[in-house]
Amino acid sequence: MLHWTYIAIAVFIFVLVLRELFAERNWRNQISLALVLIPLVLRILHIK
Amino acid sequence: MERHHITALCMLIVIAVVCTLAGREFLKMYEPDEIIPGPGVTKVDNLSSYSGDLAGTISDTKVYVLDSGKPGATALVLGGTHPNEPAGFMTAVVLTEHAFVREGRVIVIPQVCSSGFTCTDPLEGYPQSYSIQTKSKIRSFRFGARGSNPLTEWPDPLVFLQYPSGQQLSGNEVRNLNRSYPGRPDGTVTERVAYAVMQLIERENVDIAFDLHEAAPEIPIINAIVTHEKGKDAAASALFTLESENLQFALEMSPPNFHGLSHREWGDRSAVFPYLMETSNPIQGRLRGVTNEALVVQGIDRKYFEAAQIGSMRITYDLEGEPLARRVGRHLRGLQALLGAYMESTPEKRIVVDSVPEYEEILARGLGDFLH
Amino acid sequence: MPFELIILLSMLVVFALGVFLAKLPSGVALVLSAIVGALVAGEGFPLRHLVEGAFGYLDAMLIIATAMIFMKALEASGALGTLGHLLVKSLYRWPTLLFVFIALFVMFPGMLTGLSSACILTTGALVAPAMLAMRIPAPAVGSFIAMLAVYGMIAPPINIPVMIIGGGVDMPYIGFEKPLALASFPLALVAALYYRFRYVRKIHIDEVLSQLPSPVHAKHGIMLFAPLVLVVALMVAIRVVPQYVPDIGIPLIFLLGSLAGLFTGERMKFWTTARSAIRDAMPVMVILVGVGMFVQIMTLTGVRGFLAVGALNLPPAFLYVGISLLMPAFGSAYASASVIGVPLVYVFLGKDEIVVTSALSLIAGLGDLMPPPMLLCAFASQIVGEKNQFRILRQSIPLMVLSLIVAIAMIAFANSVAKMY
Repeated sequence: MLHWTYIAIAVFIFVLVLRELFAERNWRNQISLALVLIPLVLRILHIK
Repeated sequence: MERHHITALCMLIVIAVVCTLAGREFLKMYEPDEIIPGPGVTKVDNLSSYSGDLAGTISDTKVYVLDSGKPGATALVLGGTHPNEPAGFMTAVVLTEHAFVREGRVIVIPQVCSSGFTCTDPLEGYPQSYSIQTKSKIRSFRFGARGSNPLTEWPDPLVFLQYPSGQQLSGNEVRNLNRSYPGRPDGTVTERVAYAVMQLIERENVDIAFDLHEAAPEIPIINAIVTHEKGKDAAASALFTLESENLQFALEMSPPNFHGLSHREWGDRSAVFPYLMETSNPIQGRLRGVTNEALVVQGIDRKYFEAAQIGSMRITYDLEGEPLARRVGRHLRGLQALLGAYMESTPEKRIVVDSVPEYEEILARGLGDFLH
Repeated sequence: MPFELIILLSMLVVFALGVFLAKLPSGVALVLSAIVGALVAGEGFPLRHLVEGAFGYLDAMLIIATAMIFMKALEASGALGTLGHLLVKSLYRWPTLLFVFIALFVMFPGMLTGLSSACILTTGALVAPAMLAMRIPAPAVGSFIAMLAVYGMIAPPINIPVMIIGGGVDMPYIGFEKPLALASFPLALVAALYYRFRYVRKIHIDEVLSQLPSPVHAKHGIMLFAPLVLVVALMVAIRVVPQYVPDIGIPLIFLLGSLAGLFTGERMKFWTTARSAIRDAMPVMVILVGVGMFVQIMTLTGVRGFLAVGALNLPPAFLYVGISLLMPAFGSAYASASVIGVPLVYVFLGKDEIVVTSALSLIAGLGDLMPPPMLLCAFASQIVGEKNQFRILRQSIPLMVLSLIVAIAMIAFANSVAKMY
């Protein structure tokens, strides 16, 4: 149960970061946002 | 579409490619290692037979029974308690594939923390696998993490409260099987594995049990046999035998106030005589240099050589390194010596294991010669 | 020149070029330097290792993201401003007492969680506006809360670096309360007094209060502080009565607190609040991704071992100086505790190991202030509105040096210290 709550938290943060990726105008900051997505995606998909 | 939307899309595509490529590498670790039961294996079971809800999960694992059919003692050998300690695992594999039990019975679990074999620990730079040349082919084995796969019970608590002692340990130790004994059937995945092992010890009336480990060369308890109080006479006798063969082992007593360890909890909670053995594993060490497959198998590391020369820490290490074959040889020889000592102390319960390579033999011929 | 040193230097050069020349966020520069380190070492482009490194601090990333959402929610609900207002108003007549109180207040979340960033993001952010309103320069305020965050992380009952070292040497976390208190509270007191007497002459209360947001407690009553009480109560409960309250984890606690904030104060839009929080947390989250990759490549290529053996190789006379310089240089308390802390316990074998480990955790703790990640300085700079995080680091040097002296003295006289209690 706690595990899936945390997956949900990861999804929530993933969506927030994704939203910011498209709102951000500076490409340098866009790289930051994109990098943060990597561990979130792989954790949500239960790959790593 | 504005320009920054296009760059965002491009970056998403790059991230998708990165995740796919890396994800494929990570998923490779879910393919089980091939362990080929030798002529001595009479039955292959699953750990879930002893605690049902492990069935079908990555925490279930094979249990190999080598039964002589003759009455005698039952021994349990655990490899892979810590999947980043390959000598323990490989020793169990050699026994499964090569050993033959003449009297009594041996139960072998090569990958007791099986979910730990499905990932490696971040920040450690570990290889995902290593290869060994056997007579017929090159066999590849997974090099895992210290604990269970975090995906089985993420998130770790900040502080791990050991059950039932309430002892506090660093949060990631919650996935350390060798802090989780005696376990409980409704606990964390790691506690459930520990519980299943305890159940096996009870139900199979195990008399003597071995938990095979490795430790970093700077840890004082390497090349040691750790024993519960009740097994110390047999351990001392085994040490004497080993010393006569020029194999140095230190005898360490199981700390009475450190809970969750196999030798402590098995010994306190069952009739078994528990022993834990450690060999010296450079790839686990914090002083190691380049971290790769060769370090797993050959165990040669310049940094440890330098550290040993400095002398500020008590490290025994020379340029020959600590090859996997030698570490497996030590484990096998230690195990045989302890079995012998056990029989001396309990003559009515015999256990004789044949076709176990001798220490010198495994050094001379290499590990691969004793694998299929 | 050893090959590992060449790799390390190439990584550091790329990092510096990335930050100063290409104006990249420091997290992105760390990723680049990790890639270059692997290339120089002949490892090619080890994608799997880079991505695996990004997982090294995933839990910390979640904590930071959720803590930031919680802080923004407290701010939007009016609780943050009101609390700062009340704190200053009730204690401004006794500035010394005010500062000691602020110091303990800032340390509190770190004491419970063992996370330095939790201090800065919660209580640190809470007191910063009030301190800025006292006309203390921004870098000094940033340094004050950053140093207290370190002491909070070190102070008992929870000290994660000690647990990390303990995990490496099989030492249970028992009996550390007193040496850890010794390694943290006196230093926190000195920090409070130092900033009090160096920067605060007389507090012009009206001016200070006018700089703070208007209090809204009259409108919402005590419920305004319910989210804060909830978060603190849960953090305390999972530590004090773990048998009754399950450990639901810091991120979930922060999120529950944030959700409570929706109903207890000024109206806010949760989505907008969360988005602004993520924008602020982003530089630090990407630093954690970058540091993870950086450490993974350092380990893979042998640079980590090179540094660890280098520390052991220091001549005895320089050993203390050497570890004072090397341990914080890891730029992360946890990494430093794990890589150098564990072997050092064996180097100091014969001295009381509980005192030695406590002192080592203090030295490692300073790593959270140091580049390349400069985690605490980066956070603090955001909170006090200081663009250049190096100014916060510079401001912290006197207290860092003092902390090192205390830690070294504890190691040198470990057995005498152990007899004191």
